[in-house]
Amino acid sequence: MNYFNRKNKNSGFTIIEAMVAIFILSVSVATMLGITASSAASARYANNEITANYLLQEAVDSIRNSRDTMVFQHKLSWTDFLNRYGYAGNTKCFPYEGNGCFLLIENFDPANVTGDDVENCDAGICPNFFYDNEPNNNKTFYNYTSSTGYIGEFRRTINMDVDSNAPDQLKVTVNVEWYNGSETNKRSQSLTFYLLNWQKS
Amino acid sequence: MKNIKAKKENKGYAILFTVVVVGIISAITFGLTNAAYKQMMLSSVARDSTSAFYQADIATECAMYADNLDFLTSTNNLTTFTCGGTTMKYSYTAGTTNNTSLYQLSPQNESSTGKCFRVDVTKTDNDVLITTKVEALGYNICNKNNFRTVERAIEVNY
Repeated sequence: MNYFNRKNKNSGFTIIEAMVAIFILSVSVATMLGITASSAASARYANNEITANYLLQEAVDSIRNSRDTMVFQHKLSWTDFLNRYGYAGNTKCFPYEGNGCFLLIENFDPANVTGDDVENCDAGICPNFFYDNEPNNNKTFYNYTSSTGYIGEFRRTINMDVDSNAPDQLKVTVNVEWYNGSETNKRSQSLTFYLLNWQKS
Repeated sequence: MKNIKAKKENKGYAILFTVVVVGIISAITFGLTNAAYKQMMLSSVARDSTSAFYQADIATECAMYADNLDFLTSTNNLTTFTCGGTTMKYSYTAGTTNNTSLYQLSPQNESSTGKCFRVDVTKTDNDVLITTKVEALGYNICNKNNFRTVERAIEVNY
């Protein structure tokens, strides 16, 4: 009798032990999967944030290049530089609270007085960048006209302002926004800087 | 008797196996999370650094603009200078030698949590020509005691 009792006790313990083991395993795997998914989203966000950071700098440096090329190198006026971005007609990048503009970076011509490479953002929405990773077509960057690339998730808007009390100071805000993985997860990064007319004689 | 002994040897194996598997999964998850955390930190520093750098850039623009306006003179009685969307404190200090002078633009509220910049302009007159040195500092957070503050600097000589 004693032998059977002991045998039954051992069998029961194995089942309970197995159930406890399965429970612990399930809970840990579920938790770890959750953490891993969250880490993957964070890594994607970090990657996108660095891309957005470089897209901001590209816009800032392009506008500065334009100012230096026009005013300093070609001896054009500060107003010529502003008009390239729509100052005179209050279009394109002006006014500051307006729809904003975007820079056709693949056609960028810093001394183009008429600003053919600067366009209005219609209805307040600037177009998304294409990203082309084809190595042989010289467009391995974010651009707007690639035919072989895919539509990227980034969008860049430029707004400018000149205070009538300080006409030599141009305020520029560049905003880059993107969806991090899903349509509901919208992220953005912006940078405001000033360019001044210190090159006037 | 043998049967009982065999069962006793198996006792705890499932839990042991589970602990080993959970340990391996935890180690992998920790590695992934750690990598993701470091990427987040890097991207965050890149953003703060860019922000600080363009503050320093605004500072150089302001210094050269002030110089272009002939604002940087020892006889200037003004105490503030509005530039780059902010009104800065202006100060002039004569250098230790007669031919140098130091002009400074600094933020009015140095403990603010917003972005700011400061700039020192040193002019040296050696009777033949005047050389100017612009030392611009930009901060993503003005308060230097904040552990997230990033400082970037630009120096211009002409």
